[in-house]
Amino acid sequence: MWRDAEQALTLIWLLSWTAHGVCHSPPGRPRLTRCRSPEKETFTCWWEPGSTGGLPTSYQLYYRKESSLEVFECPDYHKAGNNSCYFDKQHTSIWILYNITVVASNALGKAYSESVEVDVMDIVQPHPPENVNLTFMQTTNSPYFLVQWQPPHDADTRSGWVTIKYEVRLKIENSGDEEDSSWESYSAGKQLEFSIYSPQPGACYIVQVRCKLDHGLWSEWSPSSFIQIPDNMLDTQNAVMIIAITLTVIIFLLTAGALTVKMKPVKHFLLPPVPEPKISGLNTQLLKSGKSEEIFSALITPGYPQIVQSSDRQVEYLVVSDYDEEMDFEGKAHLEYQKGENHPTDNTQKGSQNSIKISLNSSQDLNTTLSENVHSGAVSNQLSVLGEPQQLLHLKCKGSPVKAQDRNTQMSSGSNCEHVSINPAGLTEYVEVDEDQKPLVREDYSMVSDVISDNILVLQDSIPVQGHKEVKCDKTSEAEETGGVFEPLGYLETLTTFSSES
Amino acid sequence: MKKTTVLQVCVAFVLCSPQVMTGSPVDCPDQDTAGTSCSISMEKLLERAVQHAELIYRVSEESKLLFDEMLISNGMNLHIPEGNMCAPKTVPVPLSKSEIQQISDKWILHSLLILAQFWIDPLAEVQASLENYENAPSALLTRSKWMSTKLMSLEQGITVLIRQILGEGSLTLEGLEETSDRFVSSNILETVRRDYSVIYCFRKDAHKMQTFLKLLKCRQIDKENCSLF
Repeated sequence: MWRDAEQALTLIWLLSWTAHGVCHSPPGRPRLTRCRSPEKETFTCWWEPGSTGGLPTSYQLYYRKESSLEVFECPDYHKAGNNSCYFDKQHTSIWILYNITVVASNALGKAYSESVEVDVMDIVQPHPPENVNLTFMQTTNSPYFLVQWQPPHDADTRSGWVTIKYEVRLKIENSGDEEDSSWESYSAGKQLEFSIYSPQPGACYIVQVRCKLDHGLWSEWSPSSFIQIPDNMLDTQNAVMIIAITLTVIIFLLTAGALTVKMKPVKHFLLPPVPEPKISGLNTQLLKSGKSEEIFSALITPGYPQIVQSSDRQVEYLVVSDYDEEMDFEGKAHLEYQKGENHPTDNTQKGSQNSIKISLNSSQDLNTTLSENVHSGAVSNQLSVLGEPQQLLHLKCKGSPVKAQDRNTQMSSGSNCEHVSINPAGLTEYVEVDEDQKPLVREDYSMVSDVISDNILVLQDSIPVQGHKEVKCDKTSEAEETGGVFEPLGYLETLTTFSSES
Repeated sequence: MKKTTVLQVCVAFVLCSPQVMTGSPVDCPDQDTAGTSCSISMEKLLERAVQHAELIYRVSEESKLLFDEMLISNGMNLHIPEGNMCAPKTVPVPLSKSEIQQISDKWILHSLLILAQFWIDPLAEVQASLENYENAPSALLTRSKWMSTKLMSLEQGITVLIRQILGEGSLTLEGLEETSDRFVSSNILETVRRDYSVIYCFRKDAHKMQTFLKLLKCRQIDKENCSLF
């Protein structure tokens, strides 16, 4: 009998157990799926119901605040939709953790979900940006389209409560292509607009924007916006290119044609023939004929070498130099004593001029030097000092006043004399070789740096002379200075011919 | 007999299985486990509090400027003599730099709580009073509303901090009586003067709160080289 009763009972239990799906049972366990705070001031939690057990089931959400044991119930079940709980500002605190549990209950029993700890700052995910707006701007030569949007309306970005960041992505819509082009993302910072430059003409773009608050989660992408880029953008650019290319081709063809037709004149025009070296007077034909006398007679030009003829163009040369102290440039000056008409002196002295070049030692007195060497009688002698721009030198030499001037200056008439100040400088050396002149130049021709004319050699020495030497004299007069740029070229060793003059 | 025992065992299983195990172990998102449940770590709390205080101070500055502009545009020139307008609190709050350097964390937290709790009501009153102005700029209204909300939130935060750092329960302020009754005056000038003084003095105290919180954060988080003061 007991056996029967037990069997009956077990059968009943088994039946009730197997008929679980069909008949009524306590609800299954719900599950909290997610909680989100869109602006760090409120939050919402959603759950997923378990099995209903066949009976109408109701759900409650209970929460505890951190360490307290007091249990509260959800303040708002409806605002966020089904199976959700919305915590408004009064019930949201960023300072505490929420311990949330969902309870499913029906007539037969209750089911508790797993508890979830929620920190409001960790679940921040804003709503997507709003009013995404695309405009195509065709300006000048760089067309672009502008994407504009608004922040989600519930985010408090102006007070600084949240810092918001945006991201834009776009792709070209390919209709009928096998491969879907991929999205290109651009970070847009805090701004509310973004420009896409050089869009593909004729393409249709899909654009989406999303945002993020502080270090929270990215929002959903905003709904797609579309823009169609017009096709005629090409024309203006292409037209210019086509014209440029055609012109180039035409010009090229013309030049090619011109070249083929007129080869030689064009060739001469572009590449002028290099003149061959030619010696005046030398006839190569004569060489070929082999008559030596004629050749050499042709070589000898009349008037070479040039002989000084006119007396008023005579220039006396005076060499005053101390070769022992050549290397001592301190205070040495070179004065070129020159006489003659108004004659601009320059680097190239003609052989017809005589010039007195005076080089002074620091120990020597200009006066004495001159008195030693200079024949007087030269009125309106001109002293020009070579090299750096010199002040006017006035020398008294045996009663004949001499005014020294800058080499590049005009001659000045002599006047009674003067205070001399000399700025000796290292200067060009040049040697004038004259016929009856005993060459005082050293045998060392390696010092020649330049050949100016037929009978002038420029010697180069190392150290330019700097210094100032004052020579005492009686009167001072104004110095005429002209600017002239002289490059210190070295010590000038002068050779002069001294030809006395009547 | 074997059959019955087997059946009983099966029944026992059947009975037991639908029951749900409640009270699963709580997953703590942070390392801190204070008592029975988790809590937000102190560094995070202090950071949030400092951010709150900085924002409140900035908004209070802007409010004062807006109020000044409003007064100027209305032709009122309130020369507020400094020093005697902001009423001293019943509980002394450290003011000078030297005092602050010697103060302990406990005192900082208590001063913060005093300041926060003191200003909640006056700000709410000012906000209500500003609504009655004729041409108050809307920016000023939004800001004053924002300030009172955020100040309440900050007060909650300070309470939580006290609980965490000092381990006390919610602090009840003794001696803080209602010194300021509801100020009702038909004199517009008096009302304006009162409102301005609230905003002016709150700005100073907001700066104090910001300073205290920064100092507290510095001391708690970066103990060794806190050279803030």
